[in-house]
Amino acid sequence: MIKIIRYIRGYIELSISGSRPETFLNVMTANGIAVWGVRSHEGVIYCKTLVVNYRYIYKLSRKKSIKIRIVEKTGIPFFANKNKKHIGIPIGAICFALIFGFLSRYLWYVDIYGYENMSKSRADTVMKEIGVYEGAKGKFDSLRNLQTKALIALGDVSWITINTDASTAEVKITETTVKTAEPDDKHYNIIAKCDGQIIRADVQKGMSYVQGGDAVVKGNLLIGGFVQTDLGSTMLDTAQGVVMAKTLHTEHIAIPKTETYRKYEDSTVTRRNAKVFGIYFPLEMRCIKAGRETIGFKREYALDFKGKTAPVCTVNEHIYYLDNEETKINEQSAEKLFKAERLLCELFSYSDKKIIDRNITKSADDNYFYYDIEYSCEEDIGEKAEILLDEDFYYDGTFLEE
Amino acid sequence: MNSEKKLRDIVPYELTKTPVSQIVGNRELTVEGSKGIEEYTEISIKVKTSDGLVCAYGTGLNIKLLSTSAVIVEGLINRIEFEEWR
Repeated sequence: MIKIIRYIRGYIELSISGSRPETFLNVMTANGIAVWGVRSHEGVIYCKTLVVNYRYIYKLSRKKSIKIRIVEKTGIPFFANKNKKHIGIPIGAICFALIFGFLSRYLWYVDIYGYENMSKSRADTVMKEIGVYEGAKGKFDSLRNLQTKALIALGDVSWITINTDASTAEVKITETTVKTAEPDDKHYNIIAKCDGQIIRADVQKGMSYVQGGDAVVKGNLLIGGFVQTDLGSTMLDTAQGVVMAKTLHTEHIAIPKTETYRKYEDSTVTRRNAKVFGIYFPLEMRCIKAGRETIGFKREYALDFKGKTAPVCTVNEHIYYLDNEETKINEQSAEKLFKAERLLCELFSYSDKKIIDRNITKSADDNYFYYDIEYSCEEDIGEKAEILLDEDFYYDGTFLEE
Repeated sequence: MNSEKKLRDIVPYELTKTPVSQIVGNRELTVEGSKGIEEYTEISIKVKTSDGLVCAYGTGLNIKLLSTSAVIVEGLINRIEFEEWR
């Protein structure tokens, strides 16, 4: 330890020559100057002492007419003096250590994984709201509180685990699995969901109140959950069955005579930025024309080092100019557009129906082409309706007398 | 100084006021109660005490410690002599 202290303070080796140099040693000791490593060689005494003592030793030597000479200089003061020009290197090293130590207190990378149905942007947004994001402080008061906040914010997850490791945070999200429907203890009738003419009723449970050829309106009872037993009593059950009927549906499609399209222009603007701890720094100064509509895409390229992602990444931004183009639509084009619309409509709205016939009527005014379609369909018009009971109804079907 | 302190625990110089010389093998000589160096060369060292001179002769003699009241000499010591004040 004493050697380290001497090295930090700096020491010199002196040679003492002249008449009776031993006396000078005694003088130095008597004046409180500590010396060590004293040796003698060819009448000259060598000794080591701290560099701070040299000035005083020199004055003493002048008084005693002793010749002293510095033989060796050792220690940090001499090293620093020799490398005065390169002072920036140790200063830089110290600054680096300080900055590194300071930045290590913050999160450099947040890894969110484990989700399949949720969008990444939603997970990122929620994490940001609770304070887990790149650039946030790495130390949290209570990880459990954070987990609870995240669970409440996300809603449809069963569990969240947040772990922090130095400057990295790992968030694992476990989504809820949908359970299969539990048996329902309610009872249902089957009623008509729209107007139609009954073709047939296939009853599996319950009692049919319609037959082929009957016309029904929306809300009419088709299959009842009340069933008459052989003994004459009424039993409550859930109606099940399929009631096929002919129905009519109309659709109205309007195609404008003038269509405005937005298209990309050929020219694009590409800009590169650096992202450090979530803050963007532009690397290129390319301007976007003022007053123009644009649409942009960003792509991040993160720096990986041995599996760890650094908090620095480059972001390439591609910006496209948008332009509006007006197109006049003639009848032929309108027909094509109408056909496409009709197909889409039938795909989404009529997939559960069998289309028997279509009746299309066309008309137009100054701004639009109008198409009215009347669909004749065959479909199952039954839908479940819960049988609402009051508290006086017993399961065996007997009503209490009031 | 640590050696001097250890010695003082065993034989306090302040009590006896007598210089104490201690030799470890033939490698180290400690003189407690010294008043400085009288003569010092590679092959001989003379230490002043209140009772006289303690002279050590040998080869490669170095002063390990030099303080106002103690001297520790190390090296290969062949002979130790005690001289009275002239």
